[in-house]
Amino acid sequence: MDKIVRIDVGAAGGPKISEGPIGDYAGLGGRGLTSGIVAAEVPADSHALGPENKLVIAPGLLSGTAAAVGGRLSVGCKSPLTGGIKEANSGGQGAQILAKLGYAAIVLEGEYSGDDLYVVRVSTEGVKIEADPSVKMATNYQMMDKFLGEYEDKGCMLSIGPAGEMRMANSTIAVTDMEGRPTRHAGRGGVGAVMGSKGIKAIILDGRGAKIRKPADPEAFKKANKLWSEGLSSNAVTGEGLPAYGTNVLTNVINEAGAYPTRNFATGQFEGAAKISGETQAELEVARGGTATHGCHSGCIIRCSGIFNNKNGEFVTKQPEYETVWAHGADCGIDDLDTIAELDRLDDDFGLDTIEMGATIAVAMDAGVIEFGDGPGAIDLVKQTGQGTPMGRILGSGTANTAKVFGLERAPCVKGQAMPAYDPRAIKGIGVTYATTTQGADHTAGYAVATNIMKVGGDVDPMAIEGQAELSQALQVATAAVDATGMCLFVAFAILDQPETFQALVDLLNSCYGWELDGDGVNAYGRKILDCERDFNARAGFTPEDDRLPRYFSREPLAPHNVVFDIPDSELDKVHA
Amino acid sequence: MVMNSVPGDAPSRRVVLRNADLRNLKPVLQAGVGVRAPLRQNLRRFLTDDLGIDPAYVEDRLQTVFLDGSPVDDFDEAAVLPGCTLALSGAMPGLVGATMRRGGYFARLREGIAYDGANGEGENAPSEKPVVFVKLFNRALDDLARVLAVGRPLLVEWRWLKDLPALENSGGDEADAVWLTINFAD
Repeated sequence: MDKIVRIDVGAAGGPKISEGPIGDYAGLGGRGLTSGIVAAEVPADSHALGPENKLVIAPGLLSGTAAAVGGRLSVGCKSPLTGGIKEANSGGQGAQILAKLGYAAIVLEGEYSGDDLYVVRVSTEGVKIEADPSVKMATNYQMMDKFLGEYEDKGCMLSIGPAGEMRMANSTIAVTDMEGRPTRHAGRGGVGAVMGSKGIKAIILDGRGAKIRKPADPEAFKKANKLWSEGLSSNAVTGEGLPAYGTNVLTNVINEAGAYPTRNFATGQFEGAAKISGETQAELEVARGGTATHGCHSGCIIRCSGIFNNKNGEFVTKQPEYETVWAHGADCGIDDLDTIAELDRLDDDFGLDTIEMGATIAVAMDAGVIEFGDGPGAIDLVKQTGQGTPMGRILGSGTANTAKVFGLERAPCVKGQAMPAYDPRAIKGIGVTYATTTQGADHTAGYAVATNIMKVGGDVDPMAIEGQAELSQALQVATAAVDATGMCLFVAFAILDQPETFQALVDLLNSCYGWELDGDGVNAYGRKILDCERDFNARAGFTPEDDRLPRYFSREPLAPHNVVFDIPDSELDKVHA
Repeated sequence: MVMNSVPGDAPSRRVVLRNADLRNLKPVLQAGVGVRAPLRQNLRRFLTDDLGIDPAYVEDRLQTVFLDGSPVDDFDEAAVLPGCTLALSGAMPGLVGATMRRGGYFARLREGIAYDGANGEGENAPSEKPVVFVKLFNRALDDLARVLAVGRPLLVEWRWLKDLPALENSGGDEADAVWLTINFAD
């Protein structure tokens, strides 16, 4: 995985492909590489849809090896939604295959012009690009129908739907799963729009003939991977809860905690939660011939995904995730899993971020465009977005813009990106992370990899308000490190519980690359990524005043606990001080 | 709330179900059922003595527990009072899951909603027959459904029972409640 391929879409005579060694970016992978390239090569004050922005697609450091759960793909750019640096993370087969083909990254750059749309093909024989007028405005499932024959055998397709072609700030890049379906997405921040701005419709990865990556010390790697896999399998979360119920296992718990944002963050509990819970969803899936246990990429042993069929046993979509069920469910007052699944399918097909789309519809409901709970109305709004109607164009620009158009204060966004499924008034530490991450409101930016080995958190009083900032900083650093490895963030709970499992991850990295990292070294790695992202955002014009939640979260108490977000700005400013 | 108020004169019914019917009980066990309880009880003892859950399971597997919506860190300090709602769950994924965890390292992230011993008595206290509402989630639902549901009267609204073959077409108004005692034939 020592090559970077660059595609200059503005070269004279048509797009130009060049391959070169990883060079100065050696040692970086996943988010470390995407942020490293964006921070170094993209002028921070450039327009996200202009010629100076770049789209960087990078597998993680352990992708393409035999390491379990190492197949997450990072996609980075300057975000058209937030205006800051962005790393969108996806499952699917992309990371494993791209890494096995030997590529540390694909970089799309240059000034696109004209009307041609391009399809890129990557194989053991190199990289090719050709114009294909037949793909214009094709949905992601239509792209699957057209190209599955090329990639279903050991391959994968990355594609944008109509939303990305229309350069909507809410658009995604789809990454096909093990069945070849466009169900996994680099979702947040409008990365699909940047790919669309480069005139690239799809990247087809042909993995036939590509070999699994060999570690520097095969025996040590094998030993570490065994311990790693055993640790994940034996943990109650990664070995039982997630495979049985998926991420939607969180619905009942977050709802019980009064932290489940309902009807555009108006309250913290939804009366229909049990109807859309992970437990209910798993039962329904199995009863209809689907499954509640399914991996999003080869090598995943957590298998938190699933297959959702309709009443007739026909495939609708992959098991909707917790965030999707919340966004199209409770946040919109909808308590029907079939409606939510249909919305998820449409999002996947058009290439729309389910979190942002759901939050946007909730704002539209709050504005009176349709009623809360109107499932058919919500489906219509997503269809309009995919079709690019005037209303659809508004909705496709994201939650913050939609609120502005309809004159609402209540836009639950930070740096222009909608909050996900945890209300920051009830879980204030999450609010600190929403406010201060480089990514905009993001629940994954501060995941738990903090163990005593990493010595994060220190000796702060566990209940003191002052501890939130320090802890959030530690978590953001740790998350950045995990994002660089290609590991799924759900390894975090096993690592938190089991120091020997965290050590196994460190040993995987060391034996793969011949490094001698320890816990402090991993921490430093994550810190470096975060620092370069902070630097980029500062150059893009972000100040501490952007590290804040919307004011109404400090003003409006959230039922049932009647709490507000009362972490002072001075504490938020300490996170990155 | 599981119920707006506890009916003082709910009728009693007994029913025998097949093992396969257990899945039809799972929605109501998530939403919450009422069980008769002492006037005041230490949470650990309520779980082991009153609900009959194995003490080792309580200690090792009930990693996320809520009392009236507040995450509980100490089972020996928390008090179960009449009218309260108790929710039982296994370990949860991700940062927020870790935040809700009993005694978890990240408990400080949920400052403001944690159980602090200040839960008051609910609608029906004091009473001759105090009721506590219990909800089961995820692994606790799978592991404890029979422990909770078999052989003890459960206060349930009729609307939850229409999918039980033994009780279809035999209920009252959906919002009315019944004390239901369940046994399984297999």
